[in-house]
Amino acid sequence: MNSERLTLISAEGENFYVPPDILELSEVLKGEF
Amino acid sequence: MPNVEEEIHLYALNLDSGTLSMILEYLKHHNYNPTRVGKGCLSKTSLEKLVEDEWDLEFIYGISEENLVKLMLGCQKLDLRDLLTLAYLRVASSLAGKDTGQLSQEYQVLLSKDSHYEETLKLSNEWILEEHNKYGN
Repeated sequence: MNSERLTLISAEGENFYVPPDILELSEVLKGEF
Repeated sequence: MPNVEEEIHLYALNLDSGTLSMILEYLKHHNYNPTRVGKGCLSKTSLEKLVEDEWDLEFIYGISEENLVKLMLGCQKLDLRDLLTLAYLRVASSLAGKDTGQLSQEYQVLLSKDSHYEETLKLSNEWILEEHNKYGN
Protein backbone atom coordinates (compact mmCIF):
# COMPACT_ATOMS: atom_id res chain seq x y z
CA MET A 1 0.00 0.00 0.00
CA ASN A 2 1.41 3.37 -1.02
CA SER A 3 0.67 6.82 0.28
CA GLU A 4 2.06 10.01 -1.05
CA ARG A 5 3.13 13.16 0.66
CA LEU A 6 3.94 16.41 -1.05
CA THR A 7 6.25 18.82 0.70
CA LEU A 8 7.01 22.28 -0.56
CA ILE A 9 10.11 23.96 0.80
CA SER A 10 10.26 27.72 0.92
CA ALA A 11 13.34 29.80 0.17
CA GLU A 12 13.97 30.00 3.92
CA GLY A 13 13.87 26.21 4.23
CA GLU A 14 10.44 26.01 5.87
CA ASN A 15 8.44 22.89 5.03
CA PHE A 16 4.82 23.10 3.92
CA TYR A 17 2.91 19.84 3.71
CA VAL A 18 0.13 19.74 1.16
CA PRO A 19 -2.22 16.98 0.01
CA PRO A 20 -0.75 15.02 -2.88
CA ASP A 21 -3.91 15.50 -4.89
CA ILE A 22 -3.12 19.05 -5.86
CA LEU A 23 -2.83 17.72 -9.34
CA GLU A 24 -2.39 20.94 -11.23
CA LEU A 25 0.22 22.18 -8.81
CA SER A 26 2.16 18.94 -8.70
CA GLU A 27 2.13 18.75 -12.51
CA VAL A 28 3.65 22.22 -12.65
CA LEU A 29 6.22 21.22 -10.06
CA LYS A 30 7.11 18.05 -11.91
CA GLY A 31 7.51 20.03 -15.09
CA GLU A 32 9.73 22.62 -13.55
CA PHE A 33 12.02 20.66 -11.27
CA MET B 1 -0.54 -4.28 10.41
CA PRO B 2 -0.58 -3.11 6.75
CA ASN B 3 2.73 -2.36 5.14
CA VAL B 4 2.49 1.32 4.26
CA GLU B 5 5.18 2.76 2.08
CA GLU B 6 5.21 6.48 2.08
CA GLU B 7 6.34 8.19 -1.07
CA ILE B 8 7.61 11.64 -0.26
CA HIS B 9 7.90 14.32 -2.92
CA LEU B 10 9.99 17.30 -1.97
CA TYR B 11 10.02 20.48 -3.99
CA ALA B 12 12.33 23.33 -3.11
CA LEU B 13 10.70 26.52 -4.28
CA ASN B 14 12.31 29.87 -4.72
CA LEU B 15 9.38 31.50 -2.93
CA ASP B 16 9.51 33.00 0.54
CA SER B 17 7.50 31.42 3.36
CA GLY B 18 5.05 34.33 3.54
CA THR B 19 4.17 34.05 -0.15
CA LEU B 20 3.87 30.28 0.01
CA SER B 21 1.61 30.60 3.09
CA MET B 22 -0.67 33.02 1.23
CA ILE B 23 -0.89 30.74 -1.79
CA LEU B 24 -1.62 27.66 0.33
CA GLU B 25 -4.19 29.56 2.43
CA TYR B 26 -6.06 30.40 -0.77
CA LEU B 27 -5.79 26.86 -2.16
CA LYS B 28 -6.86 25.32 1.15
CA HIS B 29 -9.96 27.53 1.28
CA HIS B 30 -10.94 26.25 -2.14
CA ASN B 31 -10.17 22.62 -1.23
CA TYR B 32 -7.22 22.80 -3.57
CA ASN B 33 -9.62 23.30 -6.44
CA PRO B 34 -10.00 27.05 -6.86
CA THR B 35 -13.08 28.31 -8.63
CA ARG B 36 -12.88 30.63 -11.55
CA VAL B 37 -13.40 34.28 -10.87
CA GLY B 38 -15.86 36.14 -13.03
CA LYS B 39 -14.91 37.67 -16.31
CA GLY B 40 -15.88 41.18 -17.23
CA CYS B 41 -14.73 44.70 -17.56
CA LEU B 42 -13.89 46.64 -14.45
CA SER B 43 -14.90 49.95 -15.97
CA LYS B 44 -18.45 48.59 -16.19
CA THR B 45 -18.74 46.68 -12.98
CA SER B 46 -17.08 46.55 -9.62
CA LEU B 47 -14.64 43.97 -8.32
CA GLU B 48 -17.27 42.89 -5.80
CA LYS B 49 -19.59 41.91 -8.65
CA LEU B 50 -16.90 40.02 -10.55
CA VAL B 51 -15.74 38.01 -7.55
CA GLU B 52 -18.58 35.99 -6.07
CA ASP B 53 -16.78 34.51 -3.07
CA GLU B 54 -16.66 37.06 -0.26
CA TRP B 55 -13.74 35.20 1.29
CA ASP B 56 -11.71 35.81 -1.90
CA LEU B 57 -12.39 39.54 -1.65
CA GLU B 58 -11.35 39.72 1.98
CA PHE B 59 -8.28 37.63 1.21
CA ILE B 60 -7.08 39.72 -1.72
CA TYR B 61 -7.85 43.08 -0.06
CA GLY B 62 -6.04 41.93 3.09
CA ILE B 63 -2.72 41.67 1.26
CA SER B 64 -0.36 44.65 1.21
CA GLU B 65 0.67 46.03 -2.18
CA GLU B 66 4.23 44.79 -1.65
CA ASN B 67 3.05 41.27 -0.86
CA LEU B 68 0.59 41.38 -3.74
CA VAL B 69 3.50 41.69 -6.16
CA LYS B 70 5.21 38.71 -4.51
CA LEU B 71 1.96 36.76 -4.67
CA MET B 72 1.58 37.47 -8.40
CA LEU B 73 5.15 36.33 -9.08
CA GLY B 74 4.50 33.15 -7.06
CA CYS B 75 1.29 32.46 -8.96
CA GLN B 76 3.09 32.88 -12.27
CA LYS B 77 5.77 30.46 -11.14
CA LEU B 78 3.23 27.84 -10.05
CA ASP B 79 0.81 28.57 -12.90
CA LEU B 80 -2.08 29.33 -10.55
CA ARG B 81 -4.18 31.28 -13.00
CA ASP B 82 -7.26 31.81 -10.84
CA LEU B 83 -5.38 33.39 -7.98
CA LEU B 84 -3.32 35.39 -10.44
CA THR B 85 -6.51 36.70 -12.06
CA LEU B 86 -7.85 37.65 -8.64
CA ALA B 87 -4.64 39.57 -7.91
CA TYR B 88 -4.74 41.27 -11.32
CA LEU B 89 -8.35 42.28 -10.70
CA ARG B 90 -7.39 43.91 -7.42
CA VAL B 91 -4.65 45.91 -9.16
CA ALA B 92 -7.02 46.84 -11.99
CA SER B 93 -9.73 47.89 -9.55
CA SER B 94 -7.32 50.21 -7.80
CA LEU B 95 -6.63 51.92 -11.14
CA ALA B 96 -10.15 51.89 -12.62
CA GLY B 97 -12.03 55.13 -12.82
CA LYS B 98 -9.08 57.33 -11.87
CA ASP B 99 -7.64 59.98 -14.13
CA THR B 100 -3.94 60.48 -14.76
CA GLY B 101 -3.78 63.26 -12.16
CA GLN B 102 -5.13 61.00 -9.42
CA LEU B 103 -2.88 58.12 -10.46
CA SER B 104 0.24 60.25 -10.62
CA GLN B 105 -0.52 61.56 -7.13
CA GLU B 106 -1.26 58.11 -5.70
CA TYR B 107 1.79 56.43 -7.20
CA GLN B 108 4.00 59.51 -6.95
CA VAL B 109 4.72 59.63 -10.65
CA LEU B 110 5.62 62.98 -12.13
CA LEU B 111 3.63 63.87 -15.23
CA SER B 112 5.47 65.39 -18.13
CA LYS B 113 4.25 68.76 -19.33
CA ASP B 114 5.95 68.11 -22.65
CA SER B 115 3.16 67.65 -25.23
CA HIS B 116 5.54 65.91 -27.68
CA TYR B 117 6.35 63.33 -24.99
CA GLU B 118 2.64 62.77 -24.31
CA GLU B 119 1.94 62.32 -28.01
CA THR B 120 4.79 59.80 -28.35
CA LEU B 121 3.49 57.92 -25.33
CA LYS B 122 -0.03 57.75 -26.79
CA LEU B 123 1.28 56.50 -30.14
CA SER B 124 3.44 53.80 -28.57
CA ASN B 125 0.53 52.58 -26.41
CA GLU B 126 -2.27 52.90 -28.92
CA TRP B 127 -3.67 49.47 -28.04
CA ILE B 128 -4.52 50.67 -24.53
CA LEU B 129 -6.67 53.47 -25.91
CA GLU B 130 -8.32 51.04 -28.35
CA GLU B 131 -9.19 48.70 -25.46
CA HIS B 132 -10.47 51.64 -23.44
CA ASN B 133 -12.70 52.80 -26.29
CA LYS B 134 -13.93 49.25 -26.91
CA TYR B 135 -15.21 48.88 -23.36
CA GLY B 136 -16.27 52.48 -22.87
CA ASN B 137 -15.60 54.55 -19.79
